[in-house]
Amino acid sequence: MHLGLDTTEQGEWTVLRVSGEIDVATAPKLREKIISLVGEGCLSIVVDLAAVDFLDSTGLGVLVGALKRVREHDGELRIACDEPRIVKVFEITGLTDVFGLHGTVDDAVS
Amino acid sequence: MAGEHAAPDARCVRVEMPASVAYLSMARMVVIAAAGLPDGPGFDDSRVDDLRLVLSEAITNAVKANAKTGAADVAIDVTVDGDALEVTVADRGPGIDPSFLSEVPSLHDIDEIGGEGGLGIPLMRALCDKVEFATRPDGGTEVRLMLHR
Repeated sequence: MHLGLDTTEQGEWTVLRVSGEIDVATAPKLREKIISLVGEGCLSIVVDLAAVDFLDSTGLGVLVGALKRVREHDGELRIACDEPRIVKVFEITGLTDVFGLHGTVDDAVS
Repeated sequence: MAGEHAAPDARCVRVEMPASVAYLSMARMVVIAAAGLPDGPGFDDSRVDDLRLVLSEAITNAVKANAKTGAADVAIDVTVDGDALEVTVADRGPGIDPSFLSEVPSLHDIDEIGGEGGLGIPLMRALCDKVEFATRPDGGTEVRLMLHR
């Protein structure tokens, strides 16, 4: 059970690179990190899921919560990922319409 | 119980895990390996990914249900019978609230998604050929997930 979280800046965007598995065991760590970023004033966030091996509905719920939180502050949250098994989770729930889903971080910030 | 009507050559596996989210990742891995997947015939990587995901959803719900009663274990039965896969996840929680099954949020509008939950059952229904929920006679909930390759 592993969840890695690394933050970098790319222009005006904060890029949160997530690695490992996002499920009910690890999702709280992701939630806390995003809450912390928003608290620090980071309101343009790209969550990079390229290195995520597994995402279930709990992780998806945390991302939905993060999107709501950022929008409450007139910010923006985008997802970067082209891994089919992760993209599929967004597609079958219809959440591709809700999130800005981009293949790469460069696409997400452009 | 899963496998009770399975053919003689079906592979039936039971895994019991402590009702703790700390074991969730391991349970996904162990159940799939014990069922002989992904090396089993006919189930490609994509379908194994589907199984991994629906397992995670069902076990997460079972662990949360057990937390309400203090029950210690979650039982997972897997039957692989030709091109059919059946998984049953049984908990010892308080039983399922029927309204829990009927309240399906619109997933195209995040304002209709309450809190961070409510996405697991729609995911299970989308990925499985059939999903059944039943209250066990001796208490708890049994979720039966059926997938074909």
